[in-house]
Amino acid sequence: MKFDYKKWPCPRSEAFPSRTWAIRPTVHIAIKYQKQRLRTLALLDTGADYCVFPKWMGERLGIAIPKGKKVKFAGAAGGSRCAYFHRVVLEIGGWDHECDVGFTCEPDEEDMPYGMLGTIGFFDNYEVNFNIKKNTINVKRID
Amino acid sequence: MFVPKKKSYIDMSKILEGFEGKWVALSLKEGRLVISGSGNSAREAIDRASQKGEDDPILIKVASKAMNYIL
Repeated sequence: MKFDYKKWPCPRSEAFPSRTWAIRPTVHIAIKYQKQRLRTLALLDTGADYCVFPKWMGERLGIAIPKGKKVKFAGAAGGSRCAYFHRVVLEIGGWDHECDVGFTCEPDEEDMPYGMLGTIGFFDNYEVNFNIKKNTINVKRID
Repeated sequence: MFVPKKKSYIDMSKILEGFEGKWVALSLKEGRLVISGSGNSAREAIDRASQKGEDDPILIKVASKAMNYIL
């Protein structure tokens, strides 16, 4: 399945004063939990250990988030956050697979608009080829 | 420095302009993402999309201000 990169807004900074956007490999997916299904966007993050989604997505799927298994994690910039993991089905490019994904413990003041797909649950199931110059992300299920 | 070709990417900054802090329902139409509904809640965005014939939208919550991310 072929996906496109997307340009997302980002604020000007001292280091990059003319840049107001960032190109991110975000793809459309669906998360299924019991009879609920949520279509949304997710960032392909090769540096993330897990798949993690904002709290609101879990709530939207009717998941009792705090009943999941808790994992603490940090980002590259430091800080500590946590997520509760639940068994869901991820639908990507027409393929379904079951995996454990986290939903953040608390919403951020500035929630990310999408979740993140990391190694456990995503990259261990899919072969992904990134080509930013050709604007293509090819995702193929590993048999 | 890598500079993308104009219009070569789906430009979420243009699509979501004016929807900061809102819930947005998106539709994929011929490879393009378009807004099919929006509102102050997920339900509102989905209902508005449904009124336009989109029963399976892509739902996101737009950040109220753009951020830089190092994940």
